[in-house]
Amino acid sequence: MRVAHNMLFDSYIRQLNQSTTKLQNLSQQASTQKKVNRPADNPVGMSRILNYRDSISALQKFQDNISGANNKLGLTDKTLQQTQDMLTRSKELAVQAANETYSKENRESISKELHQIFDQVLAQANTMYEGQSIFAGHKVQDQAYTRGLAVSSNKTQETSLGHEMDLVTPYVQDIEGESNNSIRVEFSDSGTIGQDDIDYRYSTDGGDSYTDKTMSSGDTDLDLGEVTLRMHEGFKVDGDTELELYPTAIYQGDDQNKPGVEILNKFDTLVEPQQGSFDSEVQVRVTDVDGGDVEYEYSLDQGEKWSDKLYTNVSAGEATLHLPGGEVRLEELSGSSTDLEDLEFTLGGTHVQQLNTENLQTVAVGDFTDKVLVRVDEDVDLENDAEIKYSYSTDQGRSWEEGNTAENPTAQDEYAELVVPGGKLKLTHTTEKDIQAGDQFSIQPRQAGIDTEISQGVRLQQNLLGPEVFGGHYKNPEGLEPAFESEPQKNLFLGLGKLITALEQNDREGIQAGLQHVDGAIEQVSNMQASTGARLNRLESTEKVLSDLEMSEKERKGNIEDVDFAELMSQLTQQRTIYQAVLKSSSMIMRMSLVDYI
Amino acid sequence: MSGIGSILDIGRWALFSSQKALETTGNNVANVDTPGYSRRSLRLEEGPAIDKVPGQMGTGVRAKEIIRHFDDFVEKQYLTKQTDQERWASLEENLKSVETLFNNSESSGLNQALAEFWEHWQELGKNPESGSARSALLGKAQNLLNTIQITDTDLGRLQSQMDDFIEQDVQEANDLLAQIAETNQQIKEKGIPGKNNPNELLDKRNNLLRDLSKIMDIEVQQRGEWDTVVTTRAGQTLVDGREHYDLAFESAQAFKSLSSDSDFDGQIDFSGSSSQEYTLEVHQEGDVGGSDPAKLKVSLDGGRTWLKDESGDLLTIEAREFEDRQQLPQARDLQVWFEDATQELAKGDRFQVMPKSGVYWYETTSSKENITPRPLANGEDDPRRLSGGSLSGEFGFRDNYIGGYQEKLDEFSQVLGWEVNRLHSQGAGLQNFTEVLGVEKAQDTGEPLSSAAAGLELGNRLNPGSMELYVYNRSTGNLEKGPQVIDVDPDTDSMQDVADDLNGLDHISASIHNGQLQVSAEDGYELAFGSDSSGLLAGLGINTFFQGTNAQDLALNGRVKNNQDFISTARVNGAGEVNPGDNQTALDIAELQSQKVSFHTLREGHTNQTLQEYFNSLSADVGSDTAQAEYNHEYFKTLTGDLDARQKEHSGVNLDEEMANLIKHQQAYTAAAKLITTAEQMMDTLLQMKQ
Repeated sequence: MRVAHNMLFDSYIRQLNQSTTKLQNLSQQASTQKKVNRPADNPVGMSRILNYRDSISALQKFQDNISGANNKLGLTDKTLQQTQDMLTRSKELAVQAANETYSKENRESISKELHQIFDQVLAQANTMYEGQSIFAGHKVQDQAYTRGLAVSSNKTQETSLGHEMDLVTPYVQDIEGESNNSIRVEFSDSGTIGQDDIDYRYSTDGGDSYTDKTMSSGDTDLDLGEVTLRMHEGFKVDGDTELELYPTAIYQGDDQNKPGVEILNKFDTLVEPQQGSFDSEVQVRVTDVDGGDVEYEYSLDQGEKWSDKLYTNVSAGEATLHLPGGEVRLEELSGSSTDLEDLEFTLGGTHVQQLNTENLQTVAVGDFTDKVLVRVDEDVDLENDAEIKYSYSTDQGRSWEEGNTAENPTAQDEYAELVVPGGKLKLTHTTEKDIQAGDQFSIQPRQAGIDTEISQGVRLQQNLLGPEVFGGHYKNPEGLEPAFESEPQKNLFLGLGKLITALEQNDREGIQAGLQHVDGAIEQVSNMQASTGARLNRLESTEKVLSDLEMSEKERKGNIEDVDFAELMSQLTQQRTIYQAVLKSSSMIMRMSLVDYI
Repeated sequence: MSGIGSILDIGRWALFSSQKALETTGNNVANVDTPGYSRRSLRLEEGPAIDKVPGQMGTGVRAKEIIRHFDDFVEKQYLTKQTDQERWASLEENLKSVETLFNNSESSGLNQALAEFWEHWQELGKNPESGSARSALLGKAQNLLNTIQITDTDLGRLQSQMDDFIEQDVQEANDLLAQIAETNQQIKEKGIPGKNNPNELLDKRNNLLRDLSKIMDIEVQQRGEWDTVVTTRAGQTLVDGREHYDLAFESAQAFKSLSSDSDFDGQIDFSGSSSQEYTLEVHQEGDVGGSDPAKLKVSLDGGRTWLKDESGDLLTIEAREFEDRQQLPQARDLQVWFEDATQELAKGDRFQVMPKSGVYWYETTSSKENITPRPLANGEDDPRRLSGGSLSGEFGFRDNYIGGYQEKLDEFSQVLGWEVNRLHSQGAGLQNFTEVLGVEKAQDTGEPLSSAAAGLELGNRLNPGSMELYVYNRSTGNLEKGPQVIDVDPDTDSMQDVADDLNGLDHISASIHNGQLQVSAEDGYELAFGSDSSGLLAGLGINTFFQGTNAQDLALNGRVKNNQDFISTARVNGAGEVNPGDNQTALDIAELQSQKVSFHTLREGHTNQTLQEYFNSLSADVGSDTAQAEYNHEYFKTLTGDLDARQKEHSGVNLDEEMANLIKHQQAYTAAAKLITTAEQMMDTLLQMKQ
């Protein structure tokens, strides 16, 4: 081979360049301690490094969320523990007061202490965390509870589940005014409130003194001095009917329960759930219709036992049925309203919004935590077609889960059940029988839970709602309803209120009953403590998983990204040796020429 | 007279030849470092023999010609490899600038900005009513938007920089072509085969050809002894002997090439730009405009394959006039129309829309051919176009690489905006609206929302569905009526229809201003939006977080920017209430971080990835493109280096060799001189005999 001089020099320069480039790369790796310094170093690796970085930052965020939730739930737990302590004290006091040897004065002084405890529990229920009410659902800006008064009567009925239903509850519209003491009302006449003249007397000092009053027909307000009790027309009283107004706390926060209606005995009437908070299923049936008067009854135990008859009337095509837990309005009634007879429906489940279609009877049943959209994919004639093809979306219509089918029973009083995440959508026809392809329904549970994402796609509710811990009462424009309408013994404020009343009234039987209430409340609060504890445990274990995950992600990222220092050093040494060799050999050959020898 | 005279003659010839040989060697030594110089040597030949007694006798040596040592075959290979090397070198150099844009360190870059954006939605989810969490989110969102925009702007800057480079390259190529033609002329004038070799001119031409092949791919064909024809690899003649043809770098334009039986007399015109070249061919003949206009199919690779729509059918556009101009598919903003047509378009009529500047080859002053490099659908180079040299590198970088990155960045921005807006528009903030103006504009409010004619950027993302509105009493804040529902079918409903539907609702009025929908609550009321399975709100930019649809114009919705209370964190709940502690919308948006969403680009089709992964894969694309360019550059560099070395084996000067030659020729010269002195002495001897 012929070698031109330029070739020699070109190759020296090339070799030197190659050598220095490698050295420079290695020295950059040494200074950054990373072997991937720019995307071209390892394109796939770079993309994986970025993905790891994202997931690590998400993991850190989740851990951050967990620590926030931990603080909130920790505070909740502490609050519940203090509440529990106070309840225990209340129980001690009640047991003491139940002692036969205790005098009226003794009991009165105990009632004073119980008032204190009541206020303290109320303060616990209004606990704030960073300026936010922790028991008020989404309405964090306000206090969860305010002081108020509630009513109970001696007219009760036992359900098959062993709970007492207070028959006055559906008739209470509102209580205006304030009183530090409980108020006792005794009726001396028989009659129906709003229809008859009724004599009554009341006492604000535990029965020491009474004030006589008369309620004229057409009037539904009971004047109790500083307090006015507003009733709905229709409550039947007799000579031994007694009412007691006792202290309670009115929940002002957000609640979760707003029921849909399932009509059992089919009618073309529209039944719309209205005000209220039904936390158990309420079954309602209309038993008689006489002109504009409607007679109905309700059951809290799936129709085992029915309440006394209640009455309402139809005006302007509408009738409001008062129920414990809230009201239901029937709309678009014809003048005679005879078609109401035998109407039977159940309140419960979740209200369904019919989007492109209407006048079908719909209700969603289940435990929904998030909004679900349901879309019917093929035209359906509900009277004739045996199948409904549908899709649903849990992300507000971004993506649809397609290809679901539900059987359609075609009969008017049976419901087709469309299974969706969280429960099912039940629907049947009324005057409207056709659903067009593309028609949609939205199931929107009323949510008050404050969630936080604790790991990818996993949310944890970090708040408890006041009523599920403390009970108390809800106030609606049309009524004052207790929480736990079917299980009043779980209602903490109601129990304390009744206990205080019994003490003030020097009513030993009442104290015994109050004692049971307090026991029930203690159990409910422990249940809630257990649920909080379980969540705290879940947070703890999730945090552990997350930090392990973070470690392993970091390690995997490191495997791609970080240099092996020992390897790098040996490479550097090797490269240095190569460079020196190139320098030496080229400088040696470069200097040689034939010219030197001639 | 033979005898001593002939010895003198032989000596003279020998002296002359040795001197010429020494000169040649000297020239070699002098030019040892001259680029492009090829080694010369003197070809010696024995002089003609003379028949005499005792037989044929030589007449010495003749210096015949100066030979240039050069391997044309190796050179041909060298030019091919060098043109590829230059292409990749130019790509590598430019891609490294892009790589810097996408270099995401731990503390900066788009990846980090995006991660922080999601984190702040989580943070807002923890404290939905907190003003500071809201303003922090706005800050991070703005940061993300700036980063996207700067990246896009820098890409655009690199792209327009390419135009300058290309312009310079084209000028230089024209210059070189002229010089090559001129050199050919001189070679023809001066060269006499076997006698006078134009070695210096040949070297010069060779250098010019090497320079030219750095810019573009060329083929060199020998014609006769020294004449050459230079063409592009695709076959367009650049230099033919003394003639040369020009290249031109020209701005965007459109051409027509009609089928033989067409009477069409109009012109095609367009507005907007794209990094693609479009070929339109009449698929169904007809008039321009009217009730049944001609339909044209669309190709991006010069008619090799035709674009299909999403359902797999042939995609066609209608031939329309300026007023009803048609948007071309897969372009940010490119519309075509026809002008001055009195005759029908015939089947097979073709139109080229070149919505970007390109390089053209002028065969004559009136006839030109587009030779702008273009990749085909299968990724190979179009064989009728340029495919090598820095020009191909620059065009490829400008149109494919940057074009591709920008397309992905645009898609990323649009999907980011759409997905966030989709959730945001169905949420509620700390305040309800008294009126709200949609920020996305429709060109024609009477056309169905999803149609191209409506000109609504996000129109094709809408679905049939319904939207809920809630009306509140302004003084009490209580729910007045809700949800009120309107149904939307984007394939049949226009913006006007939507406005009419909204006007049918209680306490709500809607109007259209300049193609934008405004929804207002009546006096004394305010409104909030519920679920919207149609995507109408996001599509029209009502109650959205972002506005805009591409990397350049994606911005915060002005409403949100000016009043952070309008950042949706909550949702209207089942009771029709909006509560400040509700964080569902904020959490939903934060969860987008880990959700797979659908992306569609021309180059990659449909993919399902999370937004982060998509952006990360864009970084990886840039990285692997750079790595590929680096690799190819290195590869071709080694090949050209090798071929160059093989050429230098022939043509390079070795000083040792020249030194040896120097001594050899010097000795020959001394010997020749000795011959002459010997002859002289012989002559003297003869003359002395007489005395």
